[in-house]
Amino acid sequence: DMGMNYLSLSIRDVSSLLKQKTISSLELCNAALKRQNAVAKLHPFITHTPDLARESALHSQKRYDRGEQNLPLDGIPVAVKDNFCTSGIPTTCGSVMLQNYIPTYSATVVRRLQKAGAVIVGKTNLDEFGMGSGTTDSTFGPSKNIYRSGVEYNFLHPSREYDNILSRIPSTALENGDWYVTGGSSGGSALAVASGTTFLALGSDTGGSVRNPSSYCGVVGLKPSYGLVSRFGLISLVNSLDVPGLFGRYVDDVATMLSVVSGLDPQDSTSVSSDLQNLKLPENPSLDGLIIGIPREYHWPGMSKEIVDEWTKVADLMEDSGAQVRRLISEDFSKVWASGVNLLLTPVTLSTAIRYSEFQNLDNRTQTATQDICTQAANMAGVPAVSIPVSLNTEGLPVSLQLIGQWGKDPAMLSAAKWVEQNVKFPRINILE
Amino acid sequence: RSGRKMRHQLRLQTRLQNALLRHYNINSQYKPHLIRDYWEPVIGLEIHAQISSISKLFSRVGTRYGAPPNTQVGIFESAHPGTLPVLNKRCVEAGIKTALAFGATVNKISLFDRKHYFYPDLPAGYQITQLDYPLASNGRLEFIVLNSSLHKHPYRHSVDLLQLQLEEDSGKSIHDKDNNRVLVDLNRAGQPLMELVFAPGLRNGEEAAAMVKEVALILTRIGTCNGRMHEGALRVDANISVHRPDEPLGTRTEVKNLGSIGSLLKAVDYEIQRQIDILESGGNVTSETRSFDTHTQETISMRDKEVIQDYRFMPEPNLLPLRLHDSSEPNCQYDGSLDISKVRAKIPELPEATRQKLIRDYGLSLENAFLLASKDDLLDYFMAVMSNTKRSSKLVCNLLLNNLLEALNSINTDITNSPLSASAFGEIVDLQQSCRIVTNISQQVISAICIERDSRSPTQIVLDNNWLQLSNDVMEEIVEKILADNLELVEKYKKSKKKKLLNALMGKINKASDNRANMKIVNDVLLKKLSS
Repeated sequence: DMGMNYLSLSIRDVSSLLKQKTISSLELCNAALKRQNAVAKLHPFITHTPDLARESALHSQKRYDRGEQNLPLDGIPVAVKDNFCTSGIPTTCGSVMLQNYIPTYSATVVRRLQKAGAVIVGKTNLDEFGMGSGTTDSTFGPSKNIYRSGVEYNFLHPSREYDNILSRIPSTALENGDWYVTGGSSGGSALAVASGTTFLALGSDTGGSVRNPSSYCGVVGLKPSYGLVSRFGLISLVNSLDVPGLFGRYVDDVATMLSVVSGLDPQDSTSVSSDLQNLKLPENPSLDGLIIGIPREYHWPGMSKEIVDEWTKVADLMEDSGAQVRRLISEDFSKVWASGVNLLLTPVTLSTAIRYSEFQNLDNRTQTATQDICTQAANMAGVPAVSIPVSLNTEGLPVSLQLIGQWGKDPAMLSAAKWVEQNVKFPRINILE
Repeated sequence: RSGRKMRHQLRLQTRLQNALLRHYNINSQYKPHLIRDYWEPVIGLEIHAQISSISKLFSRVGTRYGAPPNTQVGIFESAHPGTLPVLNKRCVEAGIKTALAFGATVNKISLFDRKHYFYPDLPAGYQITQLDYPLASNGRLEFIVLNSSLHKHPYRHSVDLLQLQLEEDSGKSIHDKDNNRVLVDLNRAGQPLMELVFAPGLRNGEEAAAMVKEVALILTRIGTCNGRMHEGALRVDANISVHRPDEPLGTRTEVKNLGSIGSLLKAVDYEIQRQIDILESGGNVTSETRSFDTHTQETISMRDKEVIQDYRFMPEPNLLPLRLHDSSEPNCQYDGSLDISKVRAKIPELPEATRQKLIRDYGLSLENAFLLASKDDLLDYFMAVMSNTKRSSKLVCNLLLNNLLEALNSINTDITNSPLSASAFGEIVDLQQSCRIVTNISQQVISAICIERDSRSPTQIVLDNNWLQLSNDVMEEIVEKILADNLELVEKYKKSKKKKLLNALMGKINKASDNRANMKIVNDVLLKKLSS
């Protein structure tokens, strides 16, 4: 089915196809809905909205038919974490308390996505009220990582010389019915993107809830600077730390989404104005003149060797490409920026995705505190951070790293992230079902 | 100890006496506020004033009084998940204006906090208020206790305004005892309030009443609150304690939600007495919250608040610090959301200044100055009449405050809708002042125009009814006739000089003259004739 192949494209590529009418918005929507069925057993969604999706897709199609091509996300299937209010659509926060709550209003970020032509296909699973780091504590059941889940997939790599290596990476289901967690709390959104049911997804990040699952699911996860993206309609966990977060398979896609959702919102007194509405990352970003800091505090005891190895590898890669890499940095962010460092390169999680059988040995609270170690600091400081998948380990699981930037300097950080993406050439998952 | 007390009281007495003499030329004794020579009551008021604003403090929902239940509720005040507060600029302006009217310092930076407690009419489980960094602090209210039952003369008093803070109101819980349920109306939830926290500087119920009346008057004058206690626009909580002089302050109780001046007066005095009774019988006053039962006229304990509340105050994370600047200051950085100076320019003349002006420029008594300054439309009417500077302010006051208001009252109309215009009223004043009519006739003209809706001019009415004051000659003739016709009465009076008999004669003369004789002159003439 040709439609399914389109689901792994970047937004730029699929948008050209839509504009050229090689594929219609409705066809793309139906492909996404079909993929939803194929991966339903992994449980990315709490609520599916196929009728609404088709209606939006039809409107999008009409716009393309009329030759209107100015909406940045026209016809693009997206998913919304179920703690964002969506008017007329149940918004449960994965809880019993709100399982029948149907808001009468939509979150600002949701409205902005809709205004940009996005097609919302469903509300994704989460740890209840955002409290958790596995998406295992939802009233509606856990979400399961697509890697080693039993869903059939292989890998794509831009360079053919890797074909041999790629064919030897394990992709079969785990024994004993065990599975890998998606990470959390925005696990459903990360999974929706990783499994190709959508191109983009909205999540929320309070202590790592976007970066953690994107690390485990091998997708790009952005936590923007606090204040850049409106929180109106995001059901809060910690008001002073929460930000809406963005998932995509490509850094460029995430940048496009940021340009759509960011900007001053009079309904959120903590939002600031920004000039990101036309954000476009450079075609070929470079690291010239950048100073990357490697904070030693992020080298935690118990961190898996493969994470540390990848961390070192990418740091070396950056150094070889003209960035100055400083390896011993003090803890306080402002001191770091004042000392001339532009970005920090750190791990996101202590290890790759954890098996469910291991994950539930610790209670939610302890588990979250452990999982948030590399991610919490950025929330406390309000600074932007992005998780980028860099390689697969011997189990066939994604290894990701994190870039942390100065408040308000999200574009520069995303440019560096795009550089990493272009230079590590992460093998992209290709769903065969 | 008692010697020191006496000297202290004496100093107070002298100081206050001098102040009174300066202000009112009254020679009065200022008695200390001791009850039974043992107890000093201490009262501090917290006043919640609803800001006159079209929309609520943190959302654009309306605030109209009397709207059907739960029709002025939006997603924020009903605490829908995901909603955020947005501060109402007009409410901040009102707060600044009020603070300035009380001479308070408007703080350049103030913060909002959450005060948590659980109650059905507080959907979010917390109220957004200002705790440690309020909008304004350090003001002062001066007021006059006009009709003191303790002191026979009016006197001045003042209380410090400790702080003024902005906060949102809660909804209303209506206890439907017959059906064993509580009904919640959220119309009031989120309405903007100013809380005025005053220092404990009051000593009895009548001081509290006088103070609140002045607060309501000031707020109404500057337009930041309509002062209607019966509508709940102004609510008073009273903190009350008693202690012996020279001993530390006693345990205080809080009497909440007093909704009328009358309740405030009674509640304060009742609570003072209740505490004294407890202490004098050897007991201890419990620190608690009480309410005032308007039926039994007693304060009663609100038992469900036995446990000390932990409000778990925390900064409101969804609102930025409120920054203001004052362009009248030399180093103003213009970094605030509002200019205090612009608000200051909008403050009108305050009631006390108006009263002073009326006393100074028009020679009015304090009582009359109070009456006129207490209602803007009444004041406007007075000033319109007095625009003719020849008119006697005393006469105008008398006719206005006694005769006209009574007539308007009887037809249930206020001065704004008076059928008798200020200029027509002035005509009546002129007629009486020039001795062409007497007071009785003035009253009759007023009644004719107001009650009977006579559309003729006052002068026309007087002429048509032949109501001009009798000339002295005619009047003397009548007096002579009455004296001649009532020789017995005259003899009786000459013997006993009883006032009653004189009045009887006066009455007959008045009747014979069709109320057209100037009874003052008649009195003089009569007395002269009777003494001869």
